[in-house]
Amino acid sequence: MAIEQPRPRTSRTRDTIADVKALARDPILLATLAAIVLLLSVFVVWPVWKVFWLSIAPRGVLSLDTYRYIFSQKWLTRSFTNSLRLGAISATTSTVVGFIFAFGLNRADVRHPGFIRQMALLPIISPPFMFCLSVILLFGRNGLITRGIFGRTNFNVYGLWSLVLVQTLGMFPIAYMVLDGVLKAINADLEDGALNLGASRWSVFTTITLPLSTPGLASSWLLVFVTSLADFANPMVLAGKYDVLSVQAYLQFTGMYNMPRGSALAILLLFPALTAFLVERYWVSRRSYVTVTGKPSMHTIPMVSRGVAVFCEVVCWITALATIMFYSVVIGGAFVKLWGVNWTPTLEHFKYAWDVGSNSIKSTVLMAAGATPITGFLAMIIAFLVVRKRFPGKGLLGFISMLGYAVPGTVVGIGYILAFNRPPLLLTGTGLIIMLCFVFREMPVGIEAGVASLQQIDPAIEEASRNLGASSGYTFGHITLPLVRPALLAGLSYSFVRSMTAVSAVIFLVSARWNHLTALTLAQTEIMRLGAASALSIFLIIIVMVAFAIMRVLVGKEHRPAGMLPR
Amino acid sequence: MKRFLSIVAMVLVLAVMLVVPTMSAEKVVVYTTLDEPLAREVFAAFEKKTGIKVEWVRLATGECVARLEAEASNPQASMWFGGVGLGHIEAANKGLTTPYLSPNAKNIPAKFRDKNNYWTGIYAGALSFACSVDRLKQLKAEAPTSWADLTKPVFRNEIQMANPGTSGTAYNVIATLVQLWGEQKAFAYLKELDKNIAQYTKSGSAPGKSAALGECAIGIGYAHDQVKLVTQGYDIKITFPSEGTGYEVASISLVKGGKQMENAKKLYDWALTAEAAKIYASTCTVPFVEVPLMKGAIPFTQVNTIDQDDQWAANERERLVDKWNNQIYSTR
Repeated sequence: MAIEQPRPRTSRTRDTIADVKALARDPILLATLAAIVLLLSVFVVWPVWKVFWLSIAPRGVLSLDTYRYIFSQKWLTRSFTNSLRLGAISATTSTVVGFIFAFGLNRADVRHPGFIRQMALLPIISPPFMFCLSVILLFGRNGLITRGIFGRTNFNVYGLWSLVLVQTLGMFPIAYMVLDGVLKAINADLEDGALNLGASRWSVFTTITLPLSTPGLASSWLLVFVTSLADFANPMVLAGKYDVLSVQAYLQFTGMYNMPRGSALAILLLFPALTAFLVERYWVSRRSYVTVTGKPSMHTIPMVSRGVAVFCEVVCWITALATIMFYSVVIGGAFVKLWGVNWTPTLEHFKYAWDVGSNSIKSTVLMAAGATPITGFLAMIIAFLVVRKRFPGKGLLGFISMLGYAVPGTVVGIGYILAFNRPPLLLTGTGLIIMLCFVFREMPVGIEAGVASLQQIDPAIEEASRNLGASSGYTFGHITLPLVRPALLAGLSYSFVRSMTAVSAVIFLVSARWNHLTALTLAQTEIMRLGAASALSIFLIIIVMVAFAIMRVLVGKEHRPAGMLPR
Repeated sequence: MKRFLSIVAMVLVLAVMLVVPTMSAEKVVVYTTLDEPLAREVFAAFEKKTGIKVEWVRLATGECVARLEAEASNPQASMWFGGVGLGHIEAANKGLTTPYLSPNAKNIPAKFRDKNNYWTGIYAGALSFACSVDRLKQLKAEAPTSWADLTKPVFRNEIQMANPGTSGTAYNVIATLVQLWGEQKAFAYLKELDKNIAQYTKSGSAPGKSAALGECAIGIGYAHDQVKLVTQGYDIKITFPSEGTGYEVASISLVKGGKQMENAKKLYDWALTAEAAKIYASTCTVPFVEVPLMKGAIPFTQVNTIDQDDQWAANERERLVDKWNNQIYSTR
């Protein structure tokens, strides 16, 4: 194993020429690459460019007035630094919690692993706004816990730390999903070998497990950071005085009717995302993390001491309990007449929610179900290309695929209208535009999970397949995909959930025929029909649970010893 | 691999299904800012009467203007139904809507419709204070009945209002105060009020909701939004400032370049009839066409409203909001 392995340095141009030649010899690869570049250009670059253009040329003429205005306003520059601070803190806490879950499940043998695993995935199903509403209902000035139990009526629940709390609870699953795939893929022989040779558990952890998880840790930090920057539902409700840029961008669109300024604010969010992305790629790509070499491996020696296992369990349980607590408010709210005022049990919210929402539910499920497989499959192909293949413009491809994820949803929504509102691509008002939006917006989680696990799989396995005469398409389908199953499953689950709970982009794309469940839920919270909103959320949770089960069956079992080839 | 191919094939079939437009003989596509249940009722009644199918999407005022603007090259909707008057003025200024003089416009007082016929008001809501009865009891304070009451020290950190930079409701507060007292006195007052503000919420209806949940003692917002909270069972008291208060004019406009203009005009005409007004009134709003009001709704005549100039307010918006941001919000 080589952790530090400097790349051979040769002339860049010679490299590029060699890359192009190699590409020309592999027509399937070339065609795939061309198709992906085309898709990304049309559905990611084009809409974002439309919005960017709006910000630099508000009246059709190039002008930097919008940006000049933004940097002259203290309340806007303050939002920018606030966004960065929140993103960095949430990314760190989420990655730590996600790692503890993944480590606990894969190495520390925590008790009740099935339950813990469910708890690690449950928070991503939280419908937007409902989680924050629960926070207020529990911890607000009139909150069930703050006032009901502690009798405090002046507790300030709004601000940075509440946001960190809800974002960590809502986003650590992203880190968990990426890291779970990574830890599963680390060849256990390495750790066992080191332990047999007399290394202490701590030094095994710090010199093997942790360094090998680096790509995953970096990926998940990046993903959470970017998610937090673009998150607008949580700060909208809980930020209080702590203004962040994504909310300001949304409000410039919808409150000040100023599209150029809203676009410019959203575009500004791309810079920290871009920086984080470049740093991550640079840092990770300088090392090699290959441990899956095609030989089966199983753990024989417990990796951690009892104390560490207990610590992991405690963290998992605290997180799980917090999640359950917030969910019980949502679920409880659906069964009582009016939360906080009238506690009479009732089922009328479900009837109302079904009357109002059955059509939206159907179209939401249809759109999410359509988008999910495309997202997962495309993500794996891109991850494969980025990790395995050499071609010019690789870094750019990786970054562009992140773009749709990094800009706030409002901008994606507006960009999609601007880009696809006239022939030849007249898509507004159709369900397809919402599906495409899901695909290109949610793909990066799948890509990151795929990249992280592919970096650990020895290319020799794939080379062997090709040397034996398989085409690159066959090799991808029969060797690579099965090896990255956990990552694929993670990508699929996540993109399905996000498609079911998306709100900020979708609000601009829904039509009467193709309405979306969260748009409806949002409308219910607007008029404080919390019972109906909760009931709709419960429908959502049930649908997602069923979908997870179906996906697990379709993709196949994930519990295969790392590195063992499928038969 | 086969499994994946079959999944991909399924998806393609689905995709084709998604793009095939739904066939419908007579229809009109509408963006509405009415609350979900009200919209459902209003459009169902119109459908029943005329047989014209209303395909509607609910959007907040700002979202609606943003969407109309983004779609301007190929408008998807033909009409915007409901939503704050200032938003309709903004849409007209941006050239997104088109004038139409409905034969029924005479039902509406001239004060509540555009003199160039770009928009027509359907109902009004006055700015008011939603007071949490429970919270007031804890503070041992009376519900405020004037703008001046709001600056009392007892309400320190107990008032919520929306951010004028982001919410038409809150901008209406500033515009009202400036029209009432002149700019200098209004801003001095806002500075004083700032000390009592717990937070400036993003959306205009949030303060009322916070008061309903007991999150703050007083939320500044529109009376009809707050009355709805009362009818849902929340314990809040609604009061009006005695010095005079502003109001919103929920309006309707036709979208420029809409595809079903004839049907949209029929809906526009019908929206200004007593039949439609009765439905608006059923959710505690106060329609301009005189119809019996719901119990709990507050007739406009009982409130001291100012002589409001929305056109002026729309023109001054950017400047006043910038001033507020720099003089008050930035210094928090």
